[in-house]
Amino acid sequence: MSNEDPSLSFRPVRLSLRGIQKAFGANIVLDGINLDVREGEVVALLGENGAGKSTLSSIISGLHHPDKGEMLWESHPYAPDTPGDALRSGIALIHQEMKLVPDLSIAENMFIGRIPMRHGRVDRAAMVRRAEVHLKALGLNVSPARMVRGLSIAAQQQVEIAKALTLGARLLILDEPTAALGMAETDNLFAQIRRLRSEGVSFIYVSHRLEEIAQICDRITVLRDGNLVATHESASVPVNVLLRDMVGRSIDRIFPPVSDPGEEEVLRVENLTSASDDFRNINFSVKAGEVFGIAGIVGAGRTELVRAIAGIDPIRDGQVLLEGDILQPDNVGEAIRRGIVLVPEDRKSQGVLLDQSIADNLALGNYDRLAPNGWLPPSKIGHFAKDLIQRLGVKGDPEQKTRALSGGNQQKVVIARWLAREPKVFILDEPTRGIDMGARAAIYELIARLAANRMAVIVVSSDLEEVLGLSHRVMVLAGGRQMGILPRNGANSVNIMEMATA
Amino acid sequence: MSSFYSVRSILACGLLSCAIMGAAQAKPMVGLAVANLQADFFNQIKQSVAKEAKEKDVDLIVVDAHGDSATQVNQIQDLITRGVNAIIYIPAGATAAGVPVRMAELAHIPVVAVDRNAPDAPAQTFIATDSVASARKIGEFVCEKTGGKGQVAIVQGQTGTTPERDRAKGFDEALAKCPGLKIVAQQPSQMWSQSDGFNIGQDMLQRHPDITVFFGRADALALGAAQATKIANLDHPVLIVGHDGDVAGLKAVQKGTLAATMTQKTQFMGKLALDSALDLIAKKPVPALQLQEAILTTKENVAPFIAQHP
Amino acid sequence: MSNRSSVTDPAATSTGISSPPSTYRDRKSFLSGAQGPLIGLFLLIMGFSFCSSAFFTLRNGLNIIDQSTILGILALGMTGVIIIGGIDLSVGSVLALSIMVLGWLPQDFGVPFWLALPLSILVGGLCGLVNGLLVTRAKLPAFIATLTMMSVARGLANITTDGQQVVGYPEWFTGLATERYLGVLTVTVGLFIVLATAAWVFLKFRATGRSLYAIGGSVEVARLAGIQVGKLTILVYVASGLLAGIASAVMAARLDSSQPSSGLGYELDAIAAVVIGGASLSGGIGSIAGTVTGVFIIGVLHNGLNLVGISPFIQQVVIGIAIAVAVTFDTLRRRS
Repeated sequence: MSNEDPSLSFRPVRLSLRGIQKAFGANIVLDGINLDVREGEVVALLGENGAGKSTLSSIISGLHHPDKGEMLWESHPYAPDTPGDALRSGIALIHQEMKLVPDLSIAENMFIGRIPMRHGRVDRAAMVRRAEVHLKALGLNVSPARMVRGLSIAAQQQVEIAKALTLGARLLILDEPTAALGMAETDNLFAQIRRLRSEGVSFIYVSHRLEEIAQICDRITVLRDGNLVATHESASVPVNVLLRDMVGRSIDRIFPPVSDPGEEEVLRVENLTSASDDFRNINFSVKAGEVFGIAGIVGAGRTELVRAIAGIDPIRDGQVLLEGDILQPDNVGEAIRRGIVLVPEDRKSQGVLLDQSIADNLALGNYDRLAPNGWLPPSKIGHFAKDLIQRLGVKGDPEQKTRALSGGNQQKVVIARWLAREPKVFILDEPTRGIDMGARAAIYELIARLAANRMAVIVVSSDLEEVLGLSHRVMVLAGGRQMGILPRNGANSVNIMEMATA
Repeated sequence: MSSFYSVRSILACGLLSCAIMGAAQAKPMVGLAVANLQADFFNQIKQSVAKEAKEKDVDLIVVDAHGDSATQVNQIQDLITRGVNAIIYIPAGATAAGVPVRMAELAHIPVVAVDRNAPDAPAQTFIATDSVASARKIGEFVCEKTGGKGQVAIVQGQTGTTPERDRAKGFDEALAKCPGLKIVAQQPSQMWSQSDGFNIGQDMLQRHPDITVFFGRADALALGAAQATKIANLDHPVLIVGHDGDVAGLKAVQKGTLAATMTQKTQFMGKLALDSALDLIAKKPVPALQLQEAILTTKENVAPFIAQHP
Repeated sequence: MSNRSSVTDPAATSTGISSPPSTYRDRKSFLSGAQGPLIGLFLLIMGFSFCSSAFFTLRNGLNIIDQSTILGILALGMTGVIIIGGIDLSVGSVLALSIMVLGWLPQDFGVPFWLALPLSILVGGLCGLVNGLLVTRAKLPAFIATLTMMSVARGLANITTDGQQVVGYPEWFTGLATERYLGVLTVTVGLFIVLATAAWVFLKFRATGRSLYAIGGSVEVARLAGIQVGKLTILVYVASGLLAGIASAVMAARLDSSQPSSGLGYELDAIAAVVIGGASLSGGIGSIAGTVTGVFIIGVLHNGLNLVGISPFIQQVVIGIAIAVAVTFDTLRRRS
């Protein structure tokens, strides 16, 4: 498959943006953006968090209105007032977080707002029939009568895409579409994008995952701080060039060196089996100063395993030993007190309190230490927070709401909170999910520092390069079973993927 | 923040302009503390007091307790602070609270109690309908109309209230002299409302389809029971009587939905309340008890009451 | 001492944080989060003072405080419940049950009054315990759990004396609500001040109080941080029930009687006060200072409108609008 189809540049331009400007208050978030999207092409919109990707997608899909500039859609002036207007024109935004109604069926979700009626009643048969056609075309083998609740994120995404197509969308804006997908699901999504592209559907692909962009996109537009810094007419641009475009300086994806682990075993997991059967008979141990990676595809039971170790979820069998002593299962408070902490995968719903200050978020989980008598005056929290913010280089003020922070800084807040406890076992589940390239390096640096401070570190990640770059050893899970543990020098992405998909 | 300031100040200015209209004059000022303006009976009295106050050039301040006695205590405290010269007190709650009267006494403000009187702290004068007598009268009317025979169902008012207790007493007295009339069902209502009457009436008819007489302890209750009777499609006529002489009740009497009601002299009582208050301000003697007779109202004499409530 | 240390704090100077360090201290002051409502209260007081000469007097000020104690005590409990993201619709009914128990035990069982008083408050706490268990163990939504209790407690209140009221409490007891010591404070107002201060200290300075905010921010985040969410949730509902019981004692002293219809609709007034005070019904936000301000906004509105002599029907409109205005502008202020 070629990304550099010479005929592409002769195709008609479908969407054309000229001089788009947008400011929120005094803050200019987009400054004079020009962008063309042709028929049947995939344009990547690349940039760090805060570069203006989301605002630009929102303007195209009618959520925001530009302050200046104009848009042409299929050669006509285009100024959508609402997302509904954009949809009617043929432009659909597929959100990072799915916006489906969980307790309606797939078909109802697809036809919401325009449910087919017959004699004043819902024509369920027609609705299901029409939904089925579109789902089949996307290769989604699921009954349209099924409720959306319980569908995987990948499946929900397909439903969203199918819904957009039934509405006659000719331009789909995909916002971080692979953020929550496993490898196989990502491949499936790409196959569909390619097929739809060959049918003439255009895409704007918003992401900061460079590998994916090289795989799927025809052209690349890079935003930085609201400016369009580069447009590459081909996707075969060296990664470091793109990175330089994004961050304004040249960076390589370098993992910090991790020192050799010590001899003493800190954590031992024996025969651990989940109460809800998400994983079975897991055995491993982690030494002080060791980084232990856990790899596997989505649904392999990685998150469930580390949650059980941290006492969050119940187990059916087996035990966790901390420095030789059995840990009481299903008791988070006990695990934290004894020194096992977890930085959860879903930062926004499990890691930080978005509407509370950074200081309050840092103090959380440290109440017992900060307030041995139960007295916890705000000044104490303030001093505690100031110190941590400085030590970890969080870009924020103690009183600032955590919501205002970038993903990377939010993650630093969660890590800092637990770091303050000087724990023995530090578990990080997808530590760099949704964090832009520039900030990832800082997180890697922190992880290396944890190990250097003789903590036993467990890193769960879907990003193979990340697991391989950080860990001393990598355990591979598949379908809830332990497939093996590979030493750093014996592990590579090929043998890990073979085990993970076995 | 600036818009926040401005709206608050608009609110304050609005209040300011209201205030200028009611600014202090040398006119006598009377406070009217109503139990609950949602009830037609109280609203009638309020309208009558207001009308009379306008004629006599008296400043009238009305507060509504929404049926809550704690709220009413607050409101009477406010009236006293406002410096009213007399208070007309229509107590809220099951039985009249004595606290408001005692507070007024401490401030040397005379109190006219209407409809209910606090047993532990009676007001200077008490104006009410003689409920016992009037319920007895409607009982006698039922006895006469039915020829002294029938199955009686009673939709009671709120338990524990003075009107409920007095009306029960009077009606039972009448029925004692009319042994052919048997009470087969009685149930208290919460709010004295028409929907209470309807639900209770419907349930009673379900259990006792042979009911021939409904007594609603208030017109709204009787009207609810009448609706339930209509829907039940019975094979025999039911005699339905109410109490109070609400506007709706009087119209129902005219239409024949209700056979009779006892019309309380709300307009007169309102006027009397204000007059008594003015007399007390002027330190003229006022009788401690001013009981009013209610008028038995049937189709024959209802027309003038609808035109002009007594 | 602490002042000096913050000025000389090397972190503040060396990192060059853009906002001055003083903002941190200011916002953590007594009134943090309550400035907006407080401005509203201030303007209301100004407006009414212009409108009525009787309004801005010591006597009337004391009246307003007197009049606000019952709602105030209920709203303290409601603040905790709303901070954890819950709601307590039962407080009005629980108040009625407690007030009936207080009258009923001495009247029908000869229980000495001094014993009946704590028992009646405990009954309130018991109702709160049931609420808490329904929410945490039976996993009912707080709205449903407390709606159930609202109905049950009201029914029980009526059952105690078969709907009859109880009149006549000991002189010393009613004196608690009417006699003003030093010419200023009734015991009940003093009690409210003590309770409000205790609640403020608890929410602001105790680790457990801070935990409530975390639960309201996100139950999952709080749980993962080792907070015992279930235990604290129960504690909050028990506190709300106990406070409803205490409020009932204040009402009994003030009215010198107990009625089963007491407190009808008070839960909504309490919720309104808390929300006017800047709390968020989705949890995690709220403060005692804000709630007390909200209580007084409602109290001043009622009192002022009565003093100005505005018709009761218009009063309802004005109070409804005031709630909408307060909450709208608080929301806008937060968003900006």
